[in-house]
Amino acid sequence: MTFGRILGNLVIGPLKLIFETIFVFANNTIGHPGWAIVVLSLIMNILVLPLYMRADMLQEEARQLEQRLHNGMAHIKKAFSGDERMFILQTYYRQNNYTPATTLKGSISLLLEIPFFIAAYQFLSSLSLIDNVSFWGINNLGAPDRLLGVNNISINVLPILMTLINIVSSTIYLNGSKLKDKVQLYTMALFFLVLLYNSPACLVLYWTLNNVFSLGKNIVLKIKDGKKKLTKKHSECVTTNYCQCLLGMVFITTLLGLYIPSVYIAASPQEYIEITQFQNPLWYIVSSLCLAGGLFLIWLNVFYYLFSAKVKRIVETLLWFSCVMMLTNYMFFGTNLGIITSNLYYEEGMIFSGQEQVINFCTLCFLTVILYFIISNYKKAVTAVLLVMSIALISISMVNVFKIQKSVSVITALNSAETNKLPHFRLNQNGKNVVVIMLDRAMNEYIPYIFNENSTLKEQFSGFTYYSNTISFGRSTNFGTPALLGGYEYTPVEINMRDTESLCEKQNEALKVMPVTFLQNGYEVTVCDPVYANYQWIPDLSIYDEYPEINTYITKGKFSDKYQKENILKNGHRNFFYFSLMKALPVSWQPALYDNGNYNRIISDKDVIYNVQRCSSPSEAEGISYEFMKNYNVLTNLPNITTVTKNSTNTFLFLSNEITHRSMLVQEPEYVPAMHVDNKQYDEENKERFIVDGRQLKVKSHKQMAHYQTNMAALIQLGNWFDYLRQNDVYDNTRIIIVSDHGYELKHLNELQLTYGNNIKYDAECNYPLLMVKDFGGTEFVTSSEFMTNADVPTLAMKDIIDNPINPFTNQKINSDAKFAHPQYIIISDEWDVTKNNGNTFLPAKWVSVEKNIWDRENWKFYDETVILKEHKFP
Amino acid sequence: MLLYIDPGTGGMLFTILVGIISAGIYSVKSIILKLRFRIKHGKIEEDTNKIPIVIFSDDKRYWNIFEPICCELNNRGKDVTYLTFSEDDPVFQSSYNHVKPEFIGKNAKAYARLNYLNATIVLSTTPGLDVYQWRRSKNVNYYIHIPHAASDITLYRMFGIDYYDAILLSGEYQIRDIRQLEQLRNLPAKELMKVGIPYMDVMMNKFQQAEEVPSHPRTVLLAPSWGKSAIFSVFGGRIIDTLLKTGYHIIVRPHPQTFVSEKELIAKLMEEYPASDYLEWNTDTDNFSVLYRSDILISDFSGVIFDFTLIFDKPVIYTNPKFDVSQYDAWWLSTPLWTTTALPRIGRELNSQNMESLKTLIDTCLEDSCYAMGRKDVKQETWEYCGEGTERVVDYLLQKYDELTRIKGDK
Repeated sequence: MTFGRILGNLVIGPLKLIFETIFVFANNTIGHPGWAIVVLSLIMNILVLPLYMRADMLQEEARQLEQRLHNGMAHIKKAFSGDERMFILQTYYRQNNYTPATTLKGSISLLLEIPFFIAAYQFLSSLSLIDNVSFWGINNLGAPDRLLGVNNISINVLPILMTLINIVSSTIYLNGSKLKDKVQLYTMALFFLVLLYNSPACLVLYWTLNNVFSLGKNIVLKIKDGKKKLTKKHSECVTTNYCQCLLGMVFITTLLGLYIPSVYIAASPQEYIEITQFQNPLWYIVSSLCLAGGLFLIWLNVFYYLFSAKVKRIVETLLWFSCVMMLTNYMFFGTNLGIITSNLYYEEGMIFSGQEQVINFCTLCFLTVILYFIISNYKKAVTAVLLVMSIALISISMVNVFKIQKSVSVITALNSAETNKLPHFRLNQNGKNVVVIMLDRAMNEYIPYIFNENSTLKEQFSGFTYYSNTISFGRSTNFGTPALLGGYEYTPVEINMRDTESLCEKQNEALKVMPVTFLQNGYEVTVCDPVYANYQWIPDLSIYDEYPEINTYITKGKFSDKYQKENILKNGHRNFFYFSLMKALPVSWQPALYDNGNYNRIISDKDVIYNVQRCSSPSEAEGISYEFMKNYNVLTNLPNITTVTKNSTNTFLFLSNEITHRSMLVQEPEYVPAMHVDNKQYDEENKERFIVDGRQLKVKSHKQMAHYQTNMAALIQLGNWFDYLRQNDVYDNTRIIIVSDHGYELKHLNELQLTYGNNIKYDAECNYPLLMVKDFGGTEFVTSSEFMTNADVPTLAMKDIIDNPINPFTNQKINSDAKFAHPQYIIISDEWDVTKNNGNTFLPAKWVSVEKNIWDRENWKFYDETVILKEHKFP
Repeated sequence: MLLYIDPGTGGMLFTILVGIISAGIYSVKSIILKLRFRIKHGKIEEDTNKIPIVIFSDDKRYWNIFEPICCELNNRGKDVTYLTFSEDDPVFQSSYNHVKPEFIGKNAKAYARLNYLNATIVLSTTPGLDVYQWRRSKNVNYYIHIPHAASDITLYRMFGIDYYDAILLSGEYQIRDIRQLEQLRNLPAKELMKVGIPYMDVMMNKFQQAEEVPSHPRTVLLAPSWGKSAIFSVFGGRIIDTLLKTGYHIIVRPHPQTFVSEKELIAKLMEEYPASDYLEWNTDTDNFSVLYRSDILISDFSGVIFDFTLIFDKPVIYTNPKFDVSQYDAWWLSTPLWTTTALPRIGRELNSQNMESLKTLIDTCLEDSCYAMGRKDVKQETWEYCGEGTERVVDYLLQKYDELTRIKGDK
């Protein structure tokens, strides 16, 4: 980030954000960009009106002072020379509180308006939303208006109208002024006519409206005052407290610009890093700090300076209220909104219950009374409190910043060549290939419905066995992957019993069980995206350093184009401040600012930009999720990174992909990403697809639909890859295991909705992971009701090709005996964050066990943490 | 088009730009001026101990102003630090035990010494405090000004005494003028004390104790100032010719600066009009004797007129009453200079029209009793507390010192 950009973010950035927000709100309300510009012009002019009024007053003051000093100045300049003239003038100026800069005093407000106009220009000139939008006879707001045509020559009327209004406005404003001033303004008006003549109509429309406003203002002033004159205000007895005000500004700037962003980024710093487009996430904090500082330290200060003492006092009081209320809103409300993605998107959406809104409102009312009492009776305490709170926030933020930098330094220390190399792997026609594909959060319950709906897919998946009676050992990746990767020695119970080693070490060990075992049995091994390697968000491939024969890659995000990556970084620079501001506001206001994760950013119909998706119903959505595309592009590129050879070497491939975790609505029936998803007709016509063999898959919400469609989209891409394998004669000699680490509580199936204890509900879908296996030479698609867990994966992968496989790290046999020795224990924990849940054992939680048949509710039993650890030992 | 602004504001930008450039030039000039003096004076060590009373004199010629004060303070056993710009200041020859003289140089370093001075009271007759290089020191509690002429206080260069805390005066009209300036400039009211004029008291005392002048022919003292509106520049040798024609004894006493700035002019005149029984060229360091034995003084607009008329009670003939006040505080006031109202009362104006009747002018001034009456009135107006000046000044200084140190002690 350059100094210029920081400066721009400080001064222009906040204004552009205000412009954009007003425009988006207006456009969403009115539904027409042309009218939105009218509203924008009106609101901005009202906002800068105090500046105009104050400018007039200051200018008059300065003019009168200059007039008063003129004779003295002229005399001194005439009577003295050299240094003495300078000394005498300095004294004269000092005695009259005048400096030559006083001439600028009247222009301060005008000078400060320039950033407003720059922001407006930058905003409007890049507004592609108005392309081809017609408005009041103008065919295209994105181009010069060309309202008149004479002999094939088009004339732009709007710039001429703008100039005429400007001249009339100037004439009224300059009534009685010197000819020189008049000529100056008229020349400028004509100059801008030439300059703006060929500008897009939206831009000229905005200035024309500004000039109309200016004209109105000048007429009102003339009528009111007859002539501009200085109305001397009575000296106000109100005492102001700039120190308190400044501390308030500093506090809000720190809270919104530094503290909140740093808290979120520090929770998982690497999540905010685009490994193939590296940028330290601290820059997001710099950007948000610039925007917050610009808005509250610069612009609010400017307005404060221009306000009267009475208004200043009100601003000071409001700032005091705002500081405490913002902190309260942030700390105590909206804290249970679930997982938030790196592009600040709440996976569960943003919904506040009526109860929470009422509590929030009552709390703020109560605070108003308390805070008013404090500021009325203990003014000095307010300053002290603000100072202490500011120092506290800055201190905590600094700790967060160091934490972020520490985490980021791990990434920068990684071999960039290693993380950036393009993935590829071999499948050999004359050997045996074993492929394990882990789809994060892929849902097992969808398979019957997906294959029912898509018969082509069923053909593409011929040879696969679908295991419909499968469980995972937790509801999130940290609990589900160790067993999936290493077998029954790595279920949460077993991991907890090995309490002298860290969870990170055990995760790394599990990640190596299959690759090393296959390697030691002569297989060519490739590992892509080893989940939580070294407990890092971006997998640390160095865990395989002692096995240089193992090929390791990161595929996630490798196939996203640069434009999208840059755009996502740009969003981060803007949205972190917006997010902080949102979090600090009353909860009832937050959804409007959240804007379904879009934070009121303008979305153009023309641009395909990956960011977040806004669903208006289960059948309609706008936008494409960047996180979805990062993973989707890997699957579409599978044929490109697969090399088929006639070699007879055996191969093993492990690849994980998060597409099914990053769900979004896609366009049916192709199930492909689209900027505008409209499935109304298809969904209406295919309502029956969610009933198979009498079992109803409930798909009511957009979240349920998005997951279903994303699973379908993923399987379609895998199906395409299988076709590629068939075409290249490596399908039959390839064993393919498609598995997920866990499911998700989507309440699709009544059969998996359990209750325990005091009527506590438990959606077992979160432990219902996808498991499909195609063995060598498999031809039919079959369904098996055999009781399975995703810890069976290593056994399934090595079955019949490695004799009596032994875990190279524990020397225990790799098999599924444990599945039959005791019920399978599943941890019921929401602590998915490996930066928190990273001791030697998983953080305490309740447990549930199941055996034989997951569809029989009687088979599910719930336990406390202590019970599991004491009573059940590894067989 | 990054910097596009709307047309209405565009015009204003020219004004802003001009303002910015003017302010920029002014600021650069101010900075250069400050830097020039800062670089010259270098690093300054501040006085660690507070000096009770400092007298600052920017020239040895003001010893006559401060000598009686030093003497009185010394007699009362009060310590005074006397800072001077003159290495050969007569203070160094004095034998006052309680007066500690110090030559502080006369360059930027000397000003720096003053600007960082640590003292309770500074008494000075130098105008321009906080206007020129001499700035108020934050460690000095009180600056007191004592004038070095018994006439208008507004005949200092502009703003010359504005930043003193107190002024020691001798006439009510002076108070009136200062208050007017304060009001005009919105300055806080200074402490204005009427105390008399110590150096005039000394001269008066000397005059009263001097032996009686022996009988002598009517003696005319021509004591012109220097510069382009001074007598010699305006009238040349013609005035000496005219005076010689009167038959009176003529003493010509040019201003010392004439021998520096108008060397050729004075050399030519001295050659054309050599000393004789009727004409005497006088260059005595002390002017008391020559003033004492003269019956009438012809001079242009200078302070010596009042010294002569007030102490020796003799008439004067003056030239150039339309004094150019453009560089002085008097320019700001609409009221006429007190001096211009006083002169017609103590003598007559000489100009090219009445040059030929100079003898009549001299005789009238010497013989008409109205001028004796006028001198009395003028003296009452501009020299209150005649004979009490020194005592009153010292009383005031010591009382002020007590007051200042008591306030500090109370705190």
